[in-house]
Amino acid sequence: MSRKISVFLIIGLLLVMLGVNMTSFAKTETLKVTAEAWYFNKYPMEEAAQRFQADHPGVTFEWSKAGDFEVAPLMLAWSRNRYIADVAIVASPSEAVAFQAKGLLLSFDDVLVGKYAKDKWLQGFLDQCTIDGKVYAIPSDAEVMTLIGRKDFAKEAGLTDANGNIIPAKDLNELYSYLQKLTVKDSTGKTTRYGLTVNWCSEYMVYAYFSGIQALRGSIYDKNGNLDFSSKEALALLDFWQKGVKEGLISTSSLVDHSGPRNDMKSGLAAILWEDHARVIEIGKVVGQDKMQIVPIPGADTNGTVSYTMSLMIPKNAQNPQLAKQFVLEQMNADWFAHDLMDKWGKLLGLKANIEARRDDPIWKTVYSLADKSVGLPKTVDHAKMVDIMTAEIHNMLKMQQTPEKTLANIQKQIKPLNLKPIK
Amino acid sequence: MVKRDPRKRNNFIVSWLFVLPAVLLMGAFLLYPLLSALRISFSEYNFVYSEKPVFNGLTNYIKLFQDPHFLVAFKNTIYYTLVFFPLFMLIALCLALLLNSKVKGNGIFQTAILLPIVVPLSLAGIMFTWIFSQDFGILNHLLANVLHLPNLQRFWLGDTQTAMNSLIAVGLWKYTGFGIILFLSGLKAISSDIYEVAKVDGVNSWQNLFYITLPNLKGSFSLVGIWGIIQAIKVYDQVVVMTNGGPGTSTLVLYLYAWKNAFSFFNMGIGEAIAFFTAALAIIISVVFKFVLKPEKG
Amino acid sequence: MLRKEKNKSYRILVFVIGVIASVTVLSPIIWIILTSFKDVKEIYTVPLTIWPRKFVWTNYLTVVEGLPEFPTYFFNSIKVTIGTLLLVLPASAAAGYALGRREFPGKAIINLFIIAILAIPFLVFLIPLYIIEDILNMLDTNIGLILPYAALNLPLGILVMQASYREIPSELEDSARIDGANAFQTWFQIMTPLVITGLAAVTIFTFVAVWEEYMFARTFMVNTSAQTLAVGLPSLRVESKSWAYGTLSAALTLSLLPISVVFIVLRKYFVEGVLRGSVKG
Repeated sequence: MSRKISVFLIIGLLLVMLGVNMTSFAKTETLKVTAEAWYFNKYPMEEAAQRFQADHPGVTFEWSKAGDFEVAPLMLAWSRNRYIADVAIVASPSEAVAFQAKGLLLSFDDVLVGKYAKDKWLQGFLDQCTIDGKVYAIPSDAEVMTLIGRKDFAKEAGLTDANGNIIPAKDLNELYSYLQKLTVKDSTGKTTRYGLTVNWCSEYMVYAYFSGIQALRGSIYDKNGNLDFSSKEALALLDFWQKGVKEGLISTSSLVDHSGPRNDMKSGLAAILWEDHARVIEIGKVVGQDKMQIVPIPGADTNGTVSYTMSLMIPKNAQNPQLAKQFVLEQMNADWFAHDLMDKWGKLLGLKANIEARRDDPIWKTVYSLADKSVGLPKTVDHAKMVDIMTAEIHNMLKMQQTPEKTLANIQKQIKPLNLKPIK
Repeated sequence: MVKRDPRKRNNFIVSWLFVLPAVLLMGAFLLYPLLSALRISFSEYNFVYSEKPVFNGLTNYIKLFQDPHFLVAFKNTIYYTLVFFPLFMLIALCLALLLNSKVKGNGIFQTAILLPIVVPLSLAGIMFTWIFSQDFGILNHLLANVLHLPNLQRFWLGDTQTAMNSLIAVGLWKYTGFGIILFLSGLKAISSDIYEVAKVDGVNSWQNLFYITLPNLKGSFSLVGIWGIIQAIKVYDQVVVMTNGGPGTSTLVLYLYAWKNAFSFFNMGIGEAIAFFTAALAIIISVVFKFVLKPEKG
Repeated sequence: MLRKEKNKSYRILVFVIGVIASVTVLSPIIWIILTSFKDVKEIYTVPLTIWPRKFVWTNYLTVVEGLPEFPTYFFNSIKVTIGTLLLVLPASAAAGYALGRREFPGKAIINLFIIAILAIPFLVFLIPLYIIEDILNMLDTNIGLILPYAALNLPLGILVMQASYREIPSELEDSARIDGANAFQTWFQIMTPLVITGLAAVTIFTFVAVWEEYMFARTFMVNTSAQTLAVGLPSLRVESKSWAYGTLSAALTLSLLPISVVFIVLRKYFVEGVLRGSVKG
């Protein structure tokens, strides 16, 4: 008999244990911040919380970390109107469209006054966060697509000016000749140092492609207003990539590993990186900051490039929305916060004032001018599907399964039924 | 219909009390989902934008066969199965024969060879990603610097020709142990009398293998075979962790494409249609396999 | 004499093959363990070193001090596994008993359903279960994994328990009934102690299935606080953790160690459990 009782007791206890996890008690003054797990390792969130608490006693914080690969299900939960956060940092603005359309987002317009007024922000970034004239997101981790070069390698190859700075290539042909000079092969013909490494990993594939298109022709849209997959520049860009890979001048490490290109740079396996500007700091910390230089993608100095931004959003069902907005502006856009991010990780925030202080640094000077001329990708309903199609088709091309012409044709064919109308 | 006999009624109630917990669980989490899955597969249902599933007949299934990526996923799954299956059978059988012979260290061998059974496939995926790494991976290092065969070095997960085969290798590493266990139990079931008789007749080991052991394992072949094929069709974990379908579409498999449609593109209808297609494929193949290898009782 | 010689060389051959096979299977794990003791610089140096030049503990310290998620993943795995077993074992034993030893209307339908479910890949259930959990607010909770895991593993458990109960001679049950035991007592006190091996088998194959389950866990558990080892560790690879296979190797070693010890100690039960769990149509 007693054995039976103890069995029931244990079962009961375990059920209670499990049950505790299920109930979360909502406190009126708690701010729940949800982001991918890496965010909390790079962003000084603890300090921001402490500073905020000093100004607003009684506020407590709850960090809710999403797995790094698992953003889509989180977005799904959000789209189902579940309470996921007071401040959500999970999405790019293009994903905000879906939520705004369903009425799941709160606008920041009421607090964007005074030193936070709309003209105090980098226009390119804030535009991406604007839907129907209202700001629904605040940039966080804004990045511009660019080339990042190793000055020491370039100098060996004779590609630098008198000051040891890399001379930007004027067009793809010149860039190609740069790669030929920068690439080092051993006696067996195996590449021991690549001229270029490009991040072609899913979402980055889209950024890389359209940054090339924007730099080469000054617009990512064709004459019908659709995303460009048909211009001669598009063909030239894909051709450049495929030829470079074929000749062993461009590393394909990103086809399997999202961090591959960075690691190529850190280990000296590549001389130029085509990714977002922020990597310049991360790589510089390993190989030496004095060896790093931001070099515009050919054409980008006049035509601009593509930028993207993660964004801070306030879900409609946030429990403390006003407090959340205050936290976002007062701490997560404070000078100290912005500078910590710029210096440690190279990540940009949106307020112009934050960047002014770093304007003399050549790296930030270039980034600033590129950011000014950058455009964001359009917000569309079937964005994720487009990313998937582009990634698959261009990867197939890089693996010499098909020609650039065929690749563009395949992409065009498959995106035809998708809803890629820009929502503004 | 109605039971008047109180004893019968009592038996009915007591019996149902016994099965009730299981029936409730299976009803709520298997039967209801199954029916709802069927409905979704015949519906247009974007989880983010649609209010509720809208019936659209066979549209999802028709769309599938016009989607080049689905056809690629289907082809890749078949390829995975065709390569995985014979290797799985062969390796499992050989190692089972090895572990069945009473040699010193048999217990240790068995522990070592069966250990992958408890290693989650996703974690095995991380381990092998590192081993297959182009520059810092042990495999390329061994090929070049220990075996002095630098020509065999590959960008294992980054080349369309090797990516799928690398994933198959991980699947084999993980699953062969299961096959070994099934074969071992088949081997143990063969009466030792048969071997004793053969010994008297002066039969050698090879003859033993081909004329006694293998024919008597027919039941095990069918069992292991179906099990292996199902595992191959279900391939998912290591694909997500190691290549996520890439490079290009070279490792895109049915399970992954169903998942992507449902949880990346939020198109639940298409995702469920792929799921049912996969289920049909699994069932048809196992029925055919059973038919071909009709195991004799005993 | 000649025959004995031949036998001996045969045994040596088998032994050598055994060693080669064992080392081959274990080598990935050994390589990860060796990597976990290397300095980060050494890990990313070409040409590679196989044996660490110097054994360092820094990777383990990083996991223990800098990775608060790691113990969370571990305990979630344990909680989910135990929770699932607590549902599967009693439910499959009770249902297995009734289906194996009693005659009642509806039995045939239940049996048919169980056989049918076993033929359907779990993928089919993923989407509707997600929708159900979304409605019931069970996503990101341990119970949100336990309930589907229990349901998915139940059919096989019932099948095995049904067979186990059938093997018991009916005299035992009859004599218990004559002694005045009610049905519940007969089941729990007389019959169930005789099917411990069946229960052990169910425990093992449920454990093996739940411990490594990836697809459902990945889809339902978005928040790191609810994730299991199988889902959590792979996501440690990206973004901030690039350039850090040392840490990852240490985390892998730590998560494989306990389960390997359990396996080594209970190997025979694992073999038996896996065997019973695979015997299905």
